Amino acid sequence: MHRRKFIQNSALAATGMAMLPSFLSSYKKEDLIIGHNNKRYRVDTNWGKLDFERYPVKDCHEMVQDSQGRIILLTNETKNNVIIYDKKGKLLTTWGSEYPGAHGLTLFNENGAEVLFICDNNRHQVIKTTLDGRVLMTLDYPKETGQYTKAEEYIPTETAIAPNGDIYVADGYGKDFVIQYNSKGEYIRHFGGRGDTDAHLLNAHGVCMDFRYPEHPCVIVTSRQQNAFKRYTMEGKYIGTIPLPGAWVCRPVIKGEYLYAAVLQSQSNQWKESGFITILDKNNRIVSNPGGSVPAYINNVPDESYQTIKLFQYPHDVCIDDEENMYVAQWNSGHVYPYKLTPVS
Amino acid sequence: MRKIFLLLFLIAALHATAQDEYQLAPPLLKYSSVFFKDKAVLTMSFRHPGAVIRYTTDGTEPNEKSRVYTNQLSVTAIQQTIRARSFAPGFKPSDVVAVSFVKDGIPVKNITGTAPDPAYSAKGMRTLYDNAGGSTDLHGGTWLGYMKDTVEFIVDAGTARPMKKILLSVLQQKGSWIYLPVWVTVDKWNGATKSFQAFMSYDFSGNEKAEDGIVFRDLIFPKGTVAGKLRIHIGTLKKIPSGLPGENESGWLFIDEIKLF
Repeated sequence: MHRRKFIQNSALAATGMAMLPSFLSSYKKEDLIIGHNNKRYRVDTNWGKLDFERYPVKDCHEMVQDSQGRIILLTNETKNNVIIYDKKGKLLTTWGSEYPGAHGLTLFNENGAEVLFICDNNRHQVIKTTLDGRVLMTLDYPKETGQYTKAEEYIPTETAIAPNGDIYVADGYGKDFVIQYNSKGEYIRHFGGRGDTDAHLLNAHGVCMDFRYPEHPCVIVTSRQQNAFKRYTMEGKYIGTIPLPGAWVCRPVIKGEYLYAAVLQSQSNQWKESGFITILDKNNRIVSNPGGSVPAYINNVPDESYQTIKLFQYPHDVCIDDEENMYVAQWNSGHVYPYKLTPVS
Repeated sequence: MRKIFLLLFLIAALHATAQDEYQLAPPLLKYSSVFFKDKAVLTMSFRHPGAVIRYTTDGTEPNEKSRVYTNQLSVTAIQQTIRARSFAPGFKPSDVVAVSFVKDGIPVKNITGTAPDPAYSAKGMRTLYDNAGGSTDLHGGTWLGYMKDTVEFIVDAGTARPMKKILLSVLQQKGSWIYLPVWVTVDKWNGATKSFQAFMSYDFSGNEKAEDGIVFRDLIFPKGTVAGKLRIHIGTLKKIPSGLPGENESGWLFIDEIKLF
């Protein structure tokens, strides 16, 4: 990372790149356009860069946008667990030092007041806070389910909040259950978990609410090691599977008619920085794989997806802002700050 | 002097251009198994506009002059490695991806030995001589996984016959704490004394940092070796060195096939 930065800077300083004869500069990084069909993007890898000495990051796990338009990043760096940017990538503020396992970040508008839900892997807890970090509620490991004997068995990775305030927690690094609470944090039910049926999950890394068909709202849960999303009713009854062969999908993020997800890595090239992004339409068909293979279907079944351009390392989450720009946070990728992707028509 | 400056400038510019391109990812290789009886079929794919896959079958690195992949390849040779790479205008070519196919050798009648970890037990010992393997999917049902410092197998080929080597198909996947064997010993069954006798030992230490992937460990026998039943002990990485994933823990052993030739 540092080496690449050094080379870029020195090249820029040494030569005026604009002076180059055109035959030499065939295709520059900043010209890169990724994605397919109506979802194509220009990439800005410098968007979120900050002074690492003052505002370090470890894993950049998740991002959300609040109603003021600010982009909120969650990292497991306890010097500043939450970093808040404007859409141009300017640092606005930071807070948080008590979330060593900061992993999941969800924003919810609670009767006009926006709140955050943080999943902490190390603390085995879900913490509800105000936008400026004041703790409102803490959910401990869900004994009420009868599935857990100690906190260590529970490693929550994500939350999703229903319009009525019900909290759905995905225990994606623990036992793969989704635990549903009411808005006060009282246990209602749990579903998913590991097993052999389609309704079971393996690495339930993310969860979200899907209201794209308002008459049939559903909960979409990641089953990352199975390279799939699974759909359940709001009461946790299994509806169906969205197979995404080849793609270690992280949490589903719905904006408008589309479902966006960071793909941590390609099934075919594991633990080799082989991530990309995938975008599904309202019918849950892949329309674009930014950084990955052209979407292809054989008899209505998606053909295996995989990374094609070594642009991303391990993308862990995407955030789509009010102007359809995409921000990409990455795990284990050399302390890299988020990238910004701008749509091209 | 001016000429030298211009030359330096051009070299710097070329260098900058190369640094300024993204690299492609390797192509996707698909096959049902790298182990086969009569024929293996390999398909490759790289769905990127304007890209081609180039490959070699002679062990050399594919370059921009290598053969372009168009249709699935059939492999019938006893042992053949295919190397492939993606190329597209405006991008640096991908790293090389390789797959090695192995034709069936001396039929194995039976394998017994240390029970694998229940989480990675696939189809039990049968997994080791079912001609299925070569995928790095740990949950794909072709791998046996072990969390033990020593693993034992007894490989039975029936009547004694000339034997050149044993091939162990093992995995290195450092991020999953899976490391290659550190040593292997082979004992030979002696029909007269009705016991195993120490025969060969092999040192494979120092491979902790080797690249991830499937490795065929050849245990070559001296010329003229005749064998029917063999006992193999495999030593695993007891303590993962610092700086590697899972440091200070014990490494896993993953094995998907044992073949006799």
